[in-house]
Amino acid sequence: MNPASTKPPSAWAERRLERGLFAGVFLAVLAAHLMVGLVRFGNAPVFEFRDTLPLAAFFATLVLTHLVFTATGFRGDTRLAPAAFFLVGLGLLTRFRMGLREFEGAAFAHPSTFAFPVGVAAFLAVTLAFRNGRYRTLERAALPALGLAAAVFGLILLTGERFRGGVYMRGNFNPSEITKVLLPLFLAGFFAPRREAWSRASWGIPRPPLPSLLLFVALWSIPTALVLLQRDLGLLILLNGLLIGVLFFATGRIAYPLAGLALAAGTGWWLFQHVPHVTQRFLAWQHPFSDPTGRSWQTLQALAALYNGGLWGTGLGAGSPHIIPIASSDFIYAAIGEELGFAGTGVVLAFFLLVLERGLAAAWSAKTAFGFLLGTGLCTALLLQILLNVGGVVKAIPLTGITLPFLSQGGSSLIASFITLGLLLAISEDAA
Amino acid sequence: MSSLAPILERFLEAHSLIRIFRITQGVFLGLALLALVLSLLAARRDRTAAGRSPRARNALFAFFALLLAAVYTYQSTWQLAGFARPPFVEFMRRFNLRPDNPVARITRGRLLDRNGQELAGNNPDDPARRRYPFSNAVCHVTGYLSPLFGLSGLEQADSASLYGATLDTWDQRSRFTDNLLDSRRRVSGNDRTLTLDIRLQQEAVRLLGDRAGAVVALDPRDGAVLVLASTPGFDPNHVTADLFERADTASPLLNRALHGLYPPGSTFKLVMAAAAIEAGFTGKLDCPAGGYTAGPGAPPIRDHEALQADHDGSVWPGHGPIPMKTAIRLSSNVYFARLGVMLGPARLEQMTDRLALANPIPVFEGSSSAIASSPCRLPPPRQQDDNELAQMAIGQGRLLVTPLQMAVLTAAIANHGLAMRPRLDAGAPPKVLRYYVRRNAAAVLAGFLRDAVESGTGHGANVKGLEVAGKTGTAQNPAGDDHAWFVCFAPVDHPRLALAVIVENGGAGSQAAVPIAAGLLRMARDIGWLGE
Repeated sequence: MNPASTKPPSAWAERRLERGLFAGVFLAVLAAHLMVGLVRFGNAPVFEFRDTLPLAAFFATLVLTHLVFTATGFRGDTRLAPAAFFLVGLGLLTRFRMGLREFEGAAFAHPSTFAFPVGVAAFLAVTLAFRNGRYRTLERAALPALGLAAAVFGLILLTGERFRGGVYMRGNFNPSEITKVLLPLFLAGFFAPRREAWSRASWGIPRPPLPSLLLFVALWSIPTALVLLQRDLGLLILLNGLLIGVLFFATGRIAYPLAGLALAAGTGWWLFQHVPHVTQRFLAWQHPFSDPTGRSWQTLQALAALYNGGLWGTGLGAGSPHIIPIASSDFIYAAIGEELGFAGTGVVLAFFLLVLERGLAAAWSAKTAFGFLLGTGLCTALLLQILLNVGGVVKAIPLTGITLPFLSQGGSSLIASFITLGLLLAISEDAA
Repeated sequence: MSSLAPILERFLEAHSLIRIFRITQGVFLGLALLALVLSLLAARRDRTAAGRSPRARNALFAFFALLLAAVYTYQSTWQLAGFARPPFVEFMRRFNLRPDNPVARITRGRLLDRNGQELAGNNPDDPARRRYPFSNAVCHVTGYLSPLFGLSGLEQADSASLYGATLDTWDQRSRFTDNLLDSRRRVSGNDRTLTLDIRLQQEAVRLLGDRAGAVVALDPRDGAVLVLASTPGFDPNHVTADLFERADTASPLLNRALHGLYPPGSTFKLVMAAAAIEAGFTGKLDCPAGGYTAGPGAPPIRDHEALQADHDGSVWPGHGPIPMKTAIRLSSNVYFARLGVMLGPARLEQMTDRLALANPIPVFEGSSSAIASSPCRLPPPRQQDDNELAQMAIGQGRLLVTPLQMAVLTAAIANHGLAMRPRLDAGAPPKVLRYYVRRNAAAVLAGFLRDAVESGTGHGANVKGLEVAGKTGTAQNPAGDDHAWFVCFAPVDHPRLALAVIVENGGAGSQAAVPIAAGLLRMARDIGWLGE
C-alpha cells in the first residue's frame, strides 16, 4: 500500500465538495438577487451600493464558514451546511425584496436585522463547541434544558400580551423558538439511558417502569401546561409530535406513536369543542369561503398569491407578495411561491428534504444513543415545523402560527434554526 | 459604482429585459438543482455507526419525503389548478388587490344557443366582466356572474366547466393541462352549447311583454328545451343591489318556468282524461246547466257557459250527456268533476304517482351543480273527500304545478306517452324521464286535443298550415285574476314542438295564453323547425 494513502487527507481536500456546493448555492442566490435587481432597475435605473449588502453578507458568511471548518480540521458533514445556507440565502433575499425600505436609514437598527449575524455566530460556536464527540456532554444538560424551556414559557406568560387568542412577546421577537432546540435536547438526554427499560413490552404493549414513567409525566407536564396556558396550538402539536417521534426512535415500539396519535386526536377533538380560538381556526380552514374577508382572509390571499405565481412564478421582484398579511414571517412560503412559482417551492421543499436527509445521516452516524436521539429529535422538530407552516399556508391543515425554519424572518426563528444546524453538524463528526 | 448604471441601462435596452429576467430565473433553478443532485450523489458514501441499519434510515427519510410530497400535491390543487375551484376564482375576482388580477386572464367559456349564438360571453373591454347580448331574454337560464353578487343560473351550475376544470373529453383534458402550466396564467374554459333557440326564446319573452308568466318549449322526441322563458326578467349585464332588496311581488329573479307553482286549471283535465281512457271508460256523462255538486254543503261545480249565462241574464240549457271528446273540446268542468269522483282517489293517486309530480324534474347536470324544477305541490294522499277530488280533477284543488311539468306532460302525450327528460345541454344524450301515459291512450288523447284546437277553446292556436293539438286552462287563484294556461304540440302526426304557456292573472287561457303559443308556432314554422 502506498504510505501516502494511509495518511488522512487534509481538511481542505476533504471539504472540496462543500466548497463546490457553497459556490453553486452562492451563484443561485446571486441569480435570484439579479432578478430583484433587474426589476428594480427596470422601474428606476439607479444603482445603489446598499442593495448589494445582503448578498455581500451572505457571501462573507459562506467564505467564513468554509474557512473556519477547514482551518479547524472539521471532518463533519460537507453537504448539510450548503443545503441549509441555500434556504437561508433565499430567506434573506425574500426579506430584502419584501422590505427594501427597511434597509434604509434607521431601520438598519431593527433587531431582526441582527438575527443573521447572531445566528451565524451561534451556528459556528455550537458546531465548534460540540464537535469531535463533545456533544455527549449535553446529555447531562437534559434537566437544565427543560428548566430553561419552562423558564422561557413562563417568561412569555408573564410579560407577553394577548393577540389573536394566543400570548406573544412584545415586538418581533419570540423566545419560544429556542425551545424547539431545548426540548429535543431534554428528550434525547432523558430517554438515552432509559431506552432499554422503556422498550420492554408484553404482547406488543410497552410497559415502561412506573417510577420512570411518573417522573417523565411530571417533567413533561410542565412545558405542556405552560404552552396550553399560552394557547399556542402550534407549539403544543410540535412538542407532542416531537415526543412521539423520540419515543419511537428510542424504543423502536410502534405502539408509542399509535397511542400518541390516538391521544392527540382525542385532545384535538376536545380543544375543538371547548376552546373558541381553536374552533375559529378549524372553521376558517374547513370553510374558507364562509368568511373570506375575516378569519380566512390571510389564507385566501396567500392562496391567491400562489395561484398568481402558477408553475414558474412571476419572477423574483415582479409579484405582489406584500398583499399577504405578515408575508415575510409566517407566510414567506406563499411569497416565494408567488415569485418563484410551483417549481420554486418544489426546490425549497427539496432543499428541506436534503437538510433532513443530512440530519438523519448525522444521527445514524452517531456512535452514542444520545447522539442518535438528539439528531433524530432535531430532524423531527424541523419536519414538524415545515409541515405545520407549509401545510397551514397551502390550507392542507389549519393555521398554527409556526414559522418556517431557515426561511422565516422572525429573527429568533432564524437563530434557533442556526443552532439546530450547528448541533446536527457537531453530531455528524462523531469521533471514536 | 454609479458609472455602472448607464452601461447596465444600455445593456438592458439592447436585450429585452424580460428575457434576461427569465434566463436569470432559469440559471437560479438550474444551479439549485445541480447542488441538489451533487449532494444526493455523494450520499452513497455515508457511513453508519455500528448497529444502525441504513435501511431504517432510508425508510424514515422516505416517510418524511412522503409527508412533504402530500402537502406539495395539495398545494398544486390551489397553485396550479386554482381555476378549477369556482368559489376561489370568485374570491380573487372580488377581493383582488393586485395591479394585474390573474382572474382577468381567464377566458371563461361561453354559453351558446343551438345555432352558436352567444348567450353569455366575455367582455373584450373588461375581461373581469361578462357580456350577455340578449340581456333579459335568457337571464334566468344564463344567470349572471357579478363580482359583487356571485353567480346564478347556468353560470353557477356549469361554473367549473366554464373555467376549464372538467376532464370529460380529450379536448377538455388537453385544455386543462394547458391551463395548469401556462406561465401567464392564461386560462381558457369550455364553451357550453345549449338546446335553446334564441329566436324562439326572444319571441316568447316579447309575446309575454310586461305580463308576468312563463313559456316552456320542448322537442317531444328528445327532450331538448327550445324555450325556457320567464318574465319579468332582469339585465344580467347590470346586476345591482336593487334587484335583491326590492320587495315587490314581481320577483324578477325567480325563474317561473322552473319554480313558479300554479294551479293547473283545465290543463289538468289531460291527466284525468288519460286515466279514464286507460281505465277503458268510453261512456257519456251528463252535464246539466246547474252543474255538479260533489257532496253535501259543497258549492256546485259549473261550466263556464253557465256562469256566462248567469252573468248575461240569459238561459243556457246545459251540455247534456256528452262524450269525452266533446268535454275536452268545450272544456267542461262538470264532466271532469264527475269523472274524477267516478274514477276515485286511488286511480288519481296512481296517475300522480306515475307522473312523479312530487319529484323535481332535472334540466341540466352541470359541472358544479344541477338545475332542476321545483317539485309540484300535491295534497296529502287519501285525505280527499269527493268535493276535493272533483276540484282536483278540474285543476282547482290543492295541487300546484310548474310550467315545466305541464310542458313535459304535453310532450309525453305528443311522444306516444313517453316523457323524455328535458335537457338544456345540447351535448347530453337524450334520456327517458318516465313513461307517463299508455301509447293508445296518448293517441286517443292527441286526437281530442287536435279537436279542441280545430273547433274548441284553443281555436286561437289553429295556425294556418299547421296541425296543432292543445288544451286551454283558466286557473282561479287566491292572488287575483285567473291565470291563463295553454299547452299544445304540433304537428299532430309527427310532433316536433310541445309548448306550455302561462300568463299570471292573464284571465281566460284562450284570451291571454293561446295567442302567445300561436305566435311561437308561427315563428317555429317560419324558421323551419316544424318541417316543411
